[in-house]
Amino acid sequence: MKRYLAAAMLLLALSGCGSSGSSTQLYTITEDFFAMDTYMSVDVSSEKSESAAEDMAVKIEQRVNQLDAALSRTQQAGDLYKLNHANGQPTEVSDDTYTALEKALEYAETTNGAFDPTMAPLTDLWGIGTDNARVPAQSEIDEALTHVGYQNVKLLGNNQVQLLNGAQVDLGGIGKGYAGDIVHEMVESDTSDQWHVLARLSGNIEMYGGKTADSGTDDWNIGIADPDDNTDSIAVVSLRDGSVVTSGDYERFFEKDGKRYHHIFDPATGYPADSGLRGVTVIDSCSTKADALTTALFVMGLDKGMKYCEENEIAAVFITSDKQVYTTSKTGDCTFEFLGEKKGYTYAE
Amino acid sequence: MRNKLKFGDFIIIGVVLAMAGALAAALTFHSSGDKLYAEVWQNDTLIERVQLNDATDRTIKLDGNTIVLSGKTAKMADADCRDQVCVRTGTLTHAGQAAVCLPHRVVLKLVGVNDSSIDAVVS
Repeated sequence: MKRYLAAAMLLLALSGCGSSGSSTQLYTITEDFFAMDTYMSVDVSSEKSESAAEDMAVKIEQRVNQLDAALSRTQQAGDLYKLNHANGQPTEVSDDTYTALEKALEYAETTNGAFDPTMAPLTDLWGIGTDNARVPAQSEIDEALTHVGYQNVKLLGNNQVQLLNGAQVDLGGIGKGYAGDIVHEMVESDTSDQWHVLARLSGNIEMYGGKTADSGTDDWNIGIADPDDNTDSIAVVSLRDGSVVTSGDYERFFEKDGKRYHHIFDPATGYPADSGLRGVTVIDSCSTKADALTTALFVMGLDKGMKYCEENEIAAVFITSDKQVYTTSKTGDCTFEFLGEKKGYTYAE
Repeated sequence: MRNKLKFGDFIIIGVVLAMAGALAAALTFHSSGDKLYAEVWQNDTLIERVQLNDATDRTIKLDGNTIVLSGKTAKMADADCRDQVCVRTGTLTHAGQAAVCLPHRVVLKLVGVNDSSIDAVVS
């Protein structure tokens, strides 16, 4: 879509010019596009040529758009649209959709339903982010909840899926994470070049190959947004490869009678999760997993979420409503720098 | 004993001075690449590209979005869209940052050399 040469960097080790001291030339192309109901920006660097970077960037955009069509529940030609309108009949879906559903159900089970891919009736009812955003009546919420439950999704094998009990599937909770993993696989499996990729897929950042070609200077620095000022960061995590994913209450919400209603719903209550958290960030090698877990941990709240992370060795950062920042033991595997002190945050180490 | 400069020494000095001049020119060129620009895109079309400096004071009105450029910063000051995500993004100060209005397909972003040590912000 929009493509431009972000930088063709000739980094000369002996010159002292440039910041990295790397001796390897990188050709970087940035590809910006809309997909999955959000704006994405992917930096692709090749060690060979600008045209190689451009070719890979285009392939990535095309692949993400393909995923968007498959995983969208609003595009009529998509798998999820067909599945959700099949009146409970078994429906054949693509490999991508079947795999994404398998992963969604796996994470729903391991989080005991704190992440649930069948929240569509509730998200439609509340309409957050649409012109119809409202606080529904309790009776409406109760009725919608009767259709919610990941156990209503049956994977029958051979890409056949059946929805029971009027369930509707929404993979928005892991779609961008799944896309991040696909991007990772694309560049990892293409050995024609040494790739360096930074993919900003909304609240999901996917990294591959390091920022530079040289060890010691190749970690990407990813800021974790201040919930009160998204352009600023309260912490930075640094890593060469993997995913950093955040879910928070501060981007998609509406206010009524002084109360904020955000888009992360608690499957147990049918209301936006009131867990005392503003945001949760997960750092993991699997972007799909990180995506599902940020939602689940937000729903669980601090105590249950920290316990889950310690038991399952998850690297996570929790930001509470009273401006406390907590990290799990596993976060120590990457470099974590707290920056929030001047903005009134406290790091509860 | 006092040594006088020979013709060859002047040659060497000249070469060194020429190299220094070339280096200075290269550094000047490099610093010109440090400029910061605000780009406004709508439906994948570049609407405006404005170089930002300390004196920048400009308002760009689109159908549904108002963008304010002030000094070396930019923000989506107003939008009549339903979700207001672009307005809540706040003030952009570094290359690589963007405020996006999905309903109107408007993207405000800063481009240039990223003077921040942070490569991306996850939110």
